[in-house]
Amino acid sequence: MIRLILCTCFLTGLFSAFSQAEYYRVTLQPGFDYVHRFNSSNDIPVATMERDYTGIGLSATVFLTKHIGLNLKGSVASAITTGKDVGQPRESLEAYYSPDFYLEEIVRPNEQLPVSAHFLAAGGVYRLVKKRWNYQFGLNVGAMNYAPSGVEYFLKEHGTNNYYAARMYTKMEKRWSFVVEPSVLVSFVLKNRLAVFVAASYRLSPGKIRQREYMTNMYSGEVVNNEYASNGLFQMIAFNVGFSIGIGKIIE
Amino acid sequence: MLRKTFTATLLCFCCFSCMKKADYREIPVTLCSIDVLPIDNTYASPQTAMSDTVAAQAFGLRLQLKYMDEAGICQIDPMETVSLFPACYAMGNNGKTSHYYVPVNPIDSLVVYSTEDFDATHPAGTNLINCFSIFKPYSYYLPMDYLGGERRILFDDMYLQPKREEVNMLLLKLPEHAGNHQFTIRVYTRNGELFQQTLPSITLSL
Repeated sequence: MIRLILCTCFLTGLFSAFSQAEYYRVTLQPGFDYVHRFNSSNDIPVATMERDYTGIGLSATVFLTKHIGLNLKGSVASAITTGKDVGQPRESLEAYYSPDFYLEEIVRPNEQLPVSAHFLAAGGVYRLVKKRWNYQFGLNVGAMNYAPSGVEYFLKEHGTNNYYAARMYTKMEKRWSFVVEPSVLVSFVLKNRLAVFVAASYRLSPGKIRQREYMTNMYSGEVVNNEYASNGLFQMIAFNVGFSIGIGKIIE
Repeated sequence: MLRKTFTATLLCFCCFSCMKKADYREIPVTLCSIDVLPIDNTYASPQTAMSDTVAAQAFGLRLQLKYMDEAGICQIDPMETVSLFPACYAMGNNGKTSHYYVPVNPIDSLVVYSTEDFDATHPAGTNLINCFSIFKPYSYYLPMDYLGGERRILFDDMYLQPKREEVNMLLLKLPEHAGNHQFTIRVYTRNGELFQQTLPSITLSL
């Protein structure tokens, strides 16, 4: 680790001796993403997708002036869904069914299935250049999608000998949900057109969540279906690191 | 070289043979007695009924079947240990091998009846066994499907003598009217034995 830091410092010092940030017309920023999703705002079980996931992203910015540009970015992340609700574990299901039912057991709580999450956004950026440092502040709007969630469990009805096999499926009403993303990016020039960048953004995604609940009486086989809709606000923070490549002419 | 190979092969063969025997050990057990308790399944798990009134929808009978294996029989019959082939040591559970228990006197039939009329099709004294189901995670079983015939038994405590198997028979068909019932449970084995218990009177509310 120390070697890596020393090497990075050495290379940074070496490159900085010869390089300076310029106002390039276009910048391309391929990089790696790390996303953390915060708890959902609604009070019924929502998501079985792990709250932390990583992916790859690409951002392209075309600058109209020295400081103002239009940005387009997208990412594909590889996430994991589990057999349980990660945001609100067992207690929330218990609270949801109390006092009419008792939660007996969640089926496959340790299941791990890979899913992908996509993000696509466009917006404006403001750029500042200070010697070898480049600062960008942006605001994007776009769309993102979530993998549908499914939780299976057994219930016992209060006051009776009835046991139920139950399933709860959760998905966004629309395949793609709207997202607003303010962001900040700092890059450091390594060589004329090549820089490294670190970025952080906060994603806010309001959307309607649909939940479908199936309860099968294990004795009679009778099935009860319920459907719920609620408004949720997904909040997540994303960190990106990668290279920033300057393309085209320098804006004077 | 040939001798070494032969010895190693023989050793391996012996080891694998022993392991295979240990994995499939079958221990015969004998049903010795039964114990029945009324249960109240109102809450998350069935509890022994503390009151003499229970909601019919949550009523059940806890059937405790007590079994002895050869080790247990040796404890209560010391003469067995001095026999030429003491089965208790040959077949007893040493706690190191995987094994399963098989009843030597399997249950042939189960009868549950009440002193009172249950519904139009079940007057007093008729068999109510079809009104009950055994629930084991996570399925309902007809009592005789679960308990009858030759089967493997799982005991919660393998070292307890007598070994106890506990099943909760839950009432899933309700009586026509609320009222007092005095249930009697009879267990017949294929060896012609009868185990019977009559419970104190209990009020089933609707």
